[in-house]
Amino acid sequence: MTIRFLRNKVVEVEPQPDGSLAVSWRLTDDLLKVEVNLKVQPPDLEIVATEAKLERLVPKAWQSAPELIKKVEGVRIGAGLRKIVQGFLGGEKGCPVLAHAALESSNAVILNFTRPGVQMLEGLKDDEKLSLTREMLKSNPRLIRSCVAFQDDSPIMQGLDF
Amino acid sequence: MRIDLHIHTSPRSSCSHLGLEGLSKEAKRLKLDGICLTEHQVVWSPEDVEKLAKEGDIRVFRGNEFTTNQGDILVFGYYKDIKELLTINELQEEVKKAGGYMIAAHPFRGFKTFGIGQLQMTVEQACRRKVFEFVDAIEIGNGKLADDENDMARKVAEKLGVPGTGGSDAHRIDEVGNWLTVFEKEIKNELELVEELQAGRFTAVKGN
Repeated sequence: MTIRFLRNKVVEVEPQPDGSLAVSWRLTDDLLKVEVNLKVQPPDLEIVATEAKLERLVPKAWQSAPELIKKVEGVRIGAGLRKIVQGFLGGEKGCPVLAHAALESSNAVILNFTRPGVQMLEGLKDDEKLSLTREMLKSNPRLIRSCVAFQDDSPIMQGLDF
Repeated sequence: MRIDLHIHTSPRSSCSHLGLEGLSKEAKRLKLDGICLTEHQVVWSPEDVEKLAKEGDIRVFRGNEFTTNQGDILVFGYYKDIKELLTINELQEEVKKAGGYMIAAHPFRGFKTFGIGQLQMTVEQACRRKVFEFVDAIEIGNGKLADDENDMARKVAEKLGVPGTGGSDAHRIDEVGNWLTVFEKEIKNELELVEELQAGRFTAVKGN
């Protein structure tokens, strides 16, 4: 017996004339067709509007998805996002596909802003990259000692007094 | 009266490496008069807090740090053990009924992580965050934040005319007391703590 299952996903971020970002996350597979739309408002990347459409063989437990997605309105894309999204959209009473959609959409929004920075970094020499990383650490002291790259004996940490 | 309003201990806060051994001793060494245990949606029992206070010869108060759709909120005077996430409206309704007090914890944590181009925020824009419509105070001094992040919170509190508190947000022993709140009156119990918070008789100061 051959089991055939095909899934496609796409996420798009489109800057709008009013300065907001329209994020469209779409999934199509052999069972489901899902579309989640978020409106994200800079500068603090607040999710100001949400919409979810689930079609075809939607599990009964997910019928309330269009109402459930509203719970993340007002949430900001930033620190603690994963916990907040999982708390509101995940879990037994939630809809995991919505949680994935919200997190992947948020990731796409962040990439929309960080890609120019990453491209700029690629053109720098190693010592210039190191210097920028140190500046970033000074602005984000919570990262210090949070992973192996930011331990006291790491080259990045040399010369920094934390 | 010098109180660290924001401390996480292990194992009640899974992210904390701060055990109870040595906590009271360190707080006393730093000349703190009291500490608040504000775990992530875990409520200490009054008996456990009393035991800790007695052993350490220091005032120990209970708080709670709730995660909401509008970020983390420190809550005092409300001791219901709720594990699921609440919206800020739901939390405010509960805390108001109990006569409690709500503080927006580290409201600008990470606001500069992507602080480039159009993501740079002005104080006026920061003031428009919905969370400030629901809280009684803003944490303007948090030991885990960069100066820029605390400065933004202080400017917003000043502009909105909302009181500002300080707390270390300690997750390790060496972080205790690096921000604290100085109260004008002596506070003997949790009821008085909430009364003094509501009266606004306090100032946030940088600690060690």
